[in-house]
Amino acid sequence: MSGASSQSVAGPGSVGTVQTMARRQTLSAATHLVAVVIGFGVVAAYTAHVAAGRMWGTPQRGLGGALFALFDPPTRETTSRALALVPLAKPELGEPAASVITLRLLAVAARLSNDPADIARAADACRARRWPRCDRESILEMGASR
Amino acid sequence: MALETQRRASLRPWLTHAAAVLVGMAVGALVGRSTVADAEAMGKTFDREPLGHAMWLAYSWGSDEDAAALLRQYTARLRADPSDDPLSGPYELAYAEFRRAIVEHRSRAGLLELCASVPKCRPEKLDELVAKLAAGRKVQDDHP
Repeated sequence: MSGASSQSVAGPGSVGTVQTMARRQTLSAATHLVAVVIGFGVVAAYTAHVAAGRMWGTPQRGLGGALFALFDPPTRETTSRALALVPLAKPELGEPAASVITLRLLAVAARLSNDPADIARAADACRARRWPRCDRESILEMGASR
Repeated sequence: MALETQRRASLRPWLTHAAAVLVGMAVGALVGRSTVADAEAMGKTFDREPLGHAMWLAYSWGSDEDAAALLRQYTARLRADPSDDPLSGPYELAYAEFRRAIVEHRSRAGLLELCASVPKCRPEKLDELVAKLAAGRKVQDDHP
C-alpha cells in the first residue's frame, strides 16, 4: 500500500522508488529470516548440550554408551575407549560389575587381536575372579558378540 | 508528533527482528523438547547397559557367586527402575529371577514358588523354561 502511494506521489522517479522499496523489503525479509535462524540456532545449541548431558552425563552412562557401541561391531578403538571409562564408572557400578566388565573388554580386545599377550591378560583377569573356565577358547568366546 | 512517528518507525524493525528471534527460539524449543526426551530415554538405556553386560557375562561364564551377586543387583535395579517397554519389561525381570534361582541352585520347591509369583508362568512348563535358561550358562557342567 505504501508502495502504491509513493508511486502515485513520486511522479517521474516512481520506478526507482518502487525498486528501492522492493529491495528494502527483500532485505528486510532476509534479515528476519536470519533472526529466526539465530533464535533457532541458540536454542538448538543449548538443547544439544542438554541432550548430550542426559545421554552421557555420568561416567556410568558414558560407559554404557561405549559398551553399546561394541555391538556395532567392536573395534580396537571402541574397546579401548570403553576400557578407559571403567575406572571412572567404578564408584557408581561397584564390584563385581566393574571387574567383570573389564574382563569382558579384555576378552573382546583379545578376540580382536588374537595376540597371546592379550589373551593371557584376559585369562589373568578371569582367574583373579576365580571363574571356572579361563582357557584360551573360553576367553575368545567371552569376547564374542552378545 | 512527527518526531514520535519517526521514532516509532525506527523502532519497528528492531521489534519485528526481536519477534523473529523469539519465533526461531520457540520452534527450536519445540524441536528440542523431543530431542531431550529421546536423549533421556537413550541415557536410561546406557545407564542400564554396564550392569546388563556384566550380568550376562557372569551368568554365561562366571562363578556362581559373581553371577548371583550381579543378578541380585540387576533384579533390584529392574524393580527400582522398570524398563519403559511394557511388553518386555516384566519378562526381563522374570527371566533374571529364574537365572538367579538357577545359579543359586534353588530346589524345585523354590522354583515352583518363584513360578507362582511370576505372571503367566505355568508349573507344567517350568522344567522346559529352566532348561532353556540354564543352556545359556556355559559353565553349568562345572557346577553340578
